[in-house]
Amino acid sequence: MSERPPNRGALWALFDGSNPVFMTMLTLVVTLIAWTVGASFSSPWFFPSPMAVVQAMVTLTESGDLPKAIGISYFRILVGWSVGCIIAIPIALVAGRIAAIRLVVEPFFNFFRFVPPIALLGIAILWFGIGEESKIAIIIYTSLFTVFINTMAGAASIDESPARAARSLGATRRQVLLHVVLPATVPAILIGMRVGMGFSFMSVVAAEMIAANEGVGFLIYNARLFLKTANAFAGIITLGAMGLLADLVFRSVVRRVFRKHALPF
Amino acid sequence: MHPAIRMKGVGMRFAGGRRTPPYQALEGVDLEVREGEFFCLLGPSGCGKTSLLNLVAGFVQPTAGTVEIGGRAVGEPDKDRGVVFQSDRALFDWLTVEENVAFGLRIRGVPQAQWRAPVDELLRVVGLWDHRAKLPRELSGGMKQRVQIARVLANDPDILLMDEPFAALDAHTRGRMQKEVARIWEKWRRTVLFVTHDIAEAIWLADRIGIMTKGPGSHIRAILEVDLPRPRARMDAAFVDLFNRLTDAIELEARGVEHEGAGV
Ligand SMILES: Nc1ncnc2c1ncn2[C@@H]1O[C@H](COP(=O)(O)OP(=O)(O)OP(=O)(O)O)[C@@H](O)[C@H]1O
Ligand SMILES: [Mg+2]
Repeated sequence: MSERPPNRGALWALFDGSNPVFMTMLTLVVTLIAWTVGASFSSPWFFPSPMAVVQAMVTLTESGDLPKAIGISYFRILVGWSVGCIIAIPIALVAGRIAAIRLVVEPFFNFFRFVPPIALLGIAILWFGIGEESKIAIIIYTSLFTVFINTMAGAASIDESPARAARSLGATRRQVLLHVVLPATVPAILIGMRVGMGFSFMSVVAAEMIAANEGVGFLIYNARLFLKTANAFAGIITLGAMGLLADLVFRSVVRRVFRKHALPF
Repeated sequence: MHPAIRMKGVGMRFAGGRRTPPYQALEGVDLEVREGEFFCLLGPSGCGKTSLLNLVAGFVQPTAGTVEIGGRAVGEPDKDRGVVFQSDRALFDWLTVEENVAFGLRIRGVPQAQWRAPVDELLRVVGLWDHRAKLPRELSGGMKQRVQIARVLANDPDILLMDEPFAALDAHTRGRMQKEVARIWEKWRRTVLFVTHDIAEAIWLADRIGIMTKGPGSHIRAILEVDLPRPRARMDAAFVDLFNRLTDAIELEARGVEHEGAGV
């Protein structure tokens, strides 16, 4: 028996999964064909074809509506998510290391686990007004929550021996927190940040649908009023692409910053 | 002069939890380790050797008795007591070999101009110079233990606590590491408390060997002087004789035969 798989020609080799780019492209093309065929049995306002959606995207881009919506949604997510992370990480780190604090905060988190961010939108508007603040507050809540839970669990479950080693090398408790617990928790923090970013996208769209007149969520929801179904599809696809791009940027930045860490992605 | 380490009537009881009953690991431990001595603790697995070391390091407090370092009650863990851990996960995974070794000096604010030379020398001594830029996950088990040893020595502690540092290594590497440690210690001459369950290892290294009883309520049953000249390179008749006596003593211990005070 030869070690190599039997040679069935170059064409077959494309389909055996060894070429991920080809497989992705293939999936994309097949999906688009199926979509086009499916759409041809329906009317454009019910189920628009890919071409109609592309057309809508071009129109929305030329009019400036789509770029503006992308900008405002990204802005809300980025600000809310960053603020959420900055608040959550230090507190969660301490809470993860000090059982007493953990016992105090854990019931709150277990309670709010079942309260979706959007349920707080009404209160947020009451407190922060109808402007940017209320939407950003919702995103802060969304990401803060996710990042906090991940960071606290991560800090609580790190191996005890590096922290002990640091103490007997002369590190103070605070130095241990900063130079041992924090770096050891980095993978858990980053998972929390990544998941939190995903949830932030969900929250921002929901908030924009209910209480905004700008943003991708508003654009998607508004389309139904004039039966511009293609616009809604264009918005949904834009949303997916925005998320993908944000995740890509996040991962490549993080990989560059935490070169020496074993990262989970 | 005070002994480097003194334990009097030390007990360690683990409280237990919802599913685990409380456990009295150590009871009535009396131990005196002299200044500059290489002391080996020998005992069956699970008897409480790591627990004893943790008490000296200051990671945990005893539930009975007193632990003194240089005549003063043991305090929080500090740089005067360096620890080489049983687990190779004690390294800082996100730092290179070199950064691991320099950690103690850097955390205390020693400028690079001053830590550079000793760290470089230690990296050479433990044979990691060529691997200094690697990360712990890129090292073998033996290399990781050598990083731990270098990391502790860079800090120049008064007392070195070593918890079965070579248990996970193959026989050949272990032999080399034992020679290395003996050589370093002869130059360095600090107090070492070295835990092992390898009888030959204890004889190669120790000035005195303390034999622990098996738990629960483990304590030090007997202490043995190792009167062999250094360096101890070969297994001569005296070595074999000592080895056999220790083997018998441990054997009895493992079978749980009570013969308190019987001469080993
Ligand atoms: N945190 C803990 N909680 C409860 N019991 C513990 C704890 N740590 C250790 N023990 C128990 O105390 C006893 C001694 O443990 P220890 O780790 O000190 O043994 P050891 O002599 O170092 O063993 P080994 O040679 O296998 O490393 C064991 O029975 C163990 O189950
Ligand atoms: Mg142990």
